[in-house]
Amino acid sequence: MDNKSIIKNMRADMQKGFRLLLDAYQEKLYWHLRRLLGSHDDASDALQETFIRIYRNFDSFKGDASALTSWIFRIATNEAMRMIERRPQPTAQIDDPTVQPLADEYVDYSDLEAVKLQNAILALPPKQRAVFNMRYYDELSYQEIADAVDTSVSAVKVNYHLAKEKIVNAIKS
Amino acid sequence: MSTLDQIGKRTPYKVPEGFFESSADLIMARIEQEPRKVVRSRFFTSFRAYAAAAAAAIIVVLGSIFIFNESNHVSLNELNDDFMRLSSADRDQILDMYEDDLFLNL
Repeated sequence: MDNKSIIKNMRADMQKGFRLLLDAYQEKLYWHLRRLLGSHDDASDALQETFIRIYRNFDSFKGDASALTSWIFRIATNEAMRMIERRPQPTAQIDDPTVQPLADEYVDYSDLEAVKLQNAILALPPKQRAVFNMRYYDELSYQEIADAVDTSVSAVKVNYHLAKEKIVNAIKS
Repeated sequence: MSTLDQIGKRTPYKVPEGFFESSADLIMARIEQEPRKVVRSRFFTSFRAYAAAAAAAIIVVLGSIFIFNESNHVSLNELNDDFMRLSSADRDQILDMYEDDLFLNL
């Protein structure tokens, strides 16, 4: 289901249209939130709040189909940032491999390389983490990311390249 | 030594069995309890503004008429006093003039 059809359906019949949006974005947003927060429970809570906010605020969305993805990711990212501020997160230094911020029941710890990568990502400052994840995993354009985190395209590019450099160095060690 | 290219987009994260189905049901259940804001169309918004303006204009006009009438109102007692102050000749003339007036004698 494309964004244009989702918007059209939501404007014609909110409940039916919202279900289509939920089906199209639920998994994408869950993984986005999970990579930002680490914990399954936190990602699950943030996912619910994100969709409630989307539902409550859809009338204020005035953009076209191309703007829907960044609008949704913006709401999700803001929800994750609120959660990071509210709940004390495990702190980590990206250059200290002995500190492991990733501690959750739903993690395959046997995949050492992948765990190491996620620990490196979780050690990034939250906004840089969001920028890296949206570019690397979700493949959003620099413009979409800039809209989602309310910054300039050049600031997004700088943040992404800085984050990638830190991560590459961290997983090499 | 691993590189970002070797790991790619693989993550160690897992979700409980049936998580996305139950999560969608929970979200939809919460949505059904959410009050929806009623968004009025531009037509009705404009119509309401025009109706309010028209109602205000009617109140002003009727109010003015009422106030104007109040300020020019002469009570029957005042009319009677004025009539009695007239000379008897004038009173007779007025009575003769209005004796057969249909509206005054209803």
